[in-house]
Amino acid sequence: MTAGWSYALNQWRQSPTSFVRLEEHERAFKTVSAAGFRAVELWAGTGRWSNLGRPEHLRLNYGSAAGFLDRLAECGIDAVSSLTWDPSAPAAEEGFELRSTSRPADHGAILRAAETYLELLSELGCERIVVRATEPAGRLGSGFDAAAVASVLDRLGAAAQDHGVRVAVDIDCLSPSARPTASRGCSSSPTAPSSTCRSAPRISSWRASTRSRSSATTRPASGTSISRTPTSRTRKRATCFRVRKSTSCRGTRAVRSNAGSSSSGATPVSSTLPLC
Amino acid sequence: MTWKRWSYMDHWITRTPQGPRQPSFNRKHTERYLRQLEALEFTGFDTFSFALPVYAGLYGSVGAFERVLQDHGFAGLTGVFSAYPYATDFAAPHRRETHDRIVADFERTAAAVEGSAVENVIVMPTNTYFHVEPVTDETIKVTAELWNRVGALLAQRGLALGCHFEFWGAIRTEEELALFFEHTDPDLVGFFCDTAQHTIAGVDPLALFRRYRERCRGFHFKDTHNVDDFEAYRTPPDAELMATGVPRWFYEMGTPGGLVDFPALMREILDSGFDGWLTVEHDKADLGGGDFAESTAVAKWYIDNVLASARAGAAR
Repeated sequence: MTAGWSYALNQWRQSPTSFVRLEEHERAFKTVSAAGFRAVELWAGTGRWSNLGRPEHLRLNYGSAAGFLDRLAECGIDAVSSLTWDPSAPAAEEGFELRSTSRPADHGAILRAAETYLELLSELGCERIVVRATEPAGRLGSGFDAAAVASVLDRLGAAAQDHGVRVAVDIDCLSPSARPTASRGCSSSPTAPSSTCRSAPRISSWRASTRSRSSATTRPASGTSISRTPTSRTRKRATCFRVRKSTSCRGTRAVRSNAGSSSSGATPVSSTLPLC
Repeated sequence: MTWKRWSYMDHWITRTPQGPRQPSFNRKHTERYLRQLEALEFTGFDTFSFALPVYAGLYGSVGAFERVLQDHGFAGLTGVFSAYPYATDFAAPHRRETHDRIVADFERTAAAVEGSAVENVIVMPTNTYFHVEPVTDETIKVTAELWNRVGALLAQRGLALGCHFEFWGAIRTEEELALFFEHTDPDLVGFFCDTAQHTIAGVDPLALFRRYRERCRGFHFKDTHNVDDFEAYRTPPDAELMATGVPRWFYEMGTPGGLVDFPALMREILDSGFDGWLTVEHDKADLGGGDFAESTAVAKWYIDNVLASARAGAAR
């Protein structure tokens, strides 16, 4: 197995207007490279100041996906390892709708929105899209539907596979699916892949499960894999060191900092644990 | 002269344990923010339409947030700003097929501020230039149709529409502005004067105010050090942050190299009898290591020590 380290660029997004100019990008790429990382993780966003987070803006900035890769290569970066995307985050380019993975009526729009990213990732040769499973529990209220979430993630996994991309499901501490009831709801779903269901246990139980990770993470047929919320132990490390290491079975691995992770500052540190 | 109606445009960024954030990060930071504005004697507060649900979430409702503002000496929420910087399938003022959707957005904005002190709904009337070009008389006339509709809707709810033009928008020259206003109803579609944006576009904001005084709904008082004489307005994907050679376009009043003649504008405002809000706006004051609190204090010093000495009758 050949493993490489990747660094998530969201750390450079310190304020809505920061990390927009190309010379700022260049400094970040060189910093990542000098620290020994060989790949970067992008994160999806919206608007003119999220110009690495929207495919159309990235192409405008760098001419094409190939142009972006060329620029990365000039700075010593070999690849884009992954892109994180929250389907429930409103985007101006998609009509600013508050979509929910729990709402089947929104699934078509979510899949259409994903297509834009999957096309870019395919062009970039990026093998993974990290998808936030649900909006925060506080926004979702009582509307959580694990079967619906599993259904759209499964369809997303299939769509991604068509582009040569794999889906990693990111479940964070704000997710309603982190509750025991969510796990029950998921397991009762006839459509939910078993591996997606296993993303639901509480953090405490996952801490135990990580000791025998292979039993807790199995890849569903669609190519969906699981991204875990970090344990309190690893989160403490992340807070101290501003980065958190993740493990991966192959290819590159993303490391994300909690700095600049979302406009609310509420998104916890997380990392991808792809299945192998 | 001491002008009493100074409002503040809600661009502030503050330091938090998670890095630089908007003060609406949480109540503690919002409180600190409002106290600083209160100390500087601002009595109006303008924010963005997208921030309304944020403040409502923080305090329970827009009304509850307004009561917090009033506890800090503000008249309340006084203006709401909305914009569609990019042309999308959902919002492109120069394309009629998106108009219904945009009007519906303003129905929601008007409903959100119902019962509040909001006087002005301020809009960026166009998308960014490079998404609209070629800019033609037709694109401007179609854009005017939209804002006539929105202006009528808002007027029915006791709100005034002010059109705020950007140097990188698809209506930016004197001729384009004139055509737009020619095709909009002066009772429904107002002019909102951003002193820096017009200056960057090579248009004198003082001359614009003289020309459109009767339909002027307010001002954004901010300065610039540069005129765009190299077509930076066409910069994709964003002219405000990515223009070659100009990392920062906007500055607070009172910096060396500022191009806007604020004392002359102030005298003109006094002469005109304008009695609306004068809004201090610091857009991207943090660029290059700047600080919103300091920029705001420097602007307030300028208001107190330079603009306060302006006298009516001395404008011409």
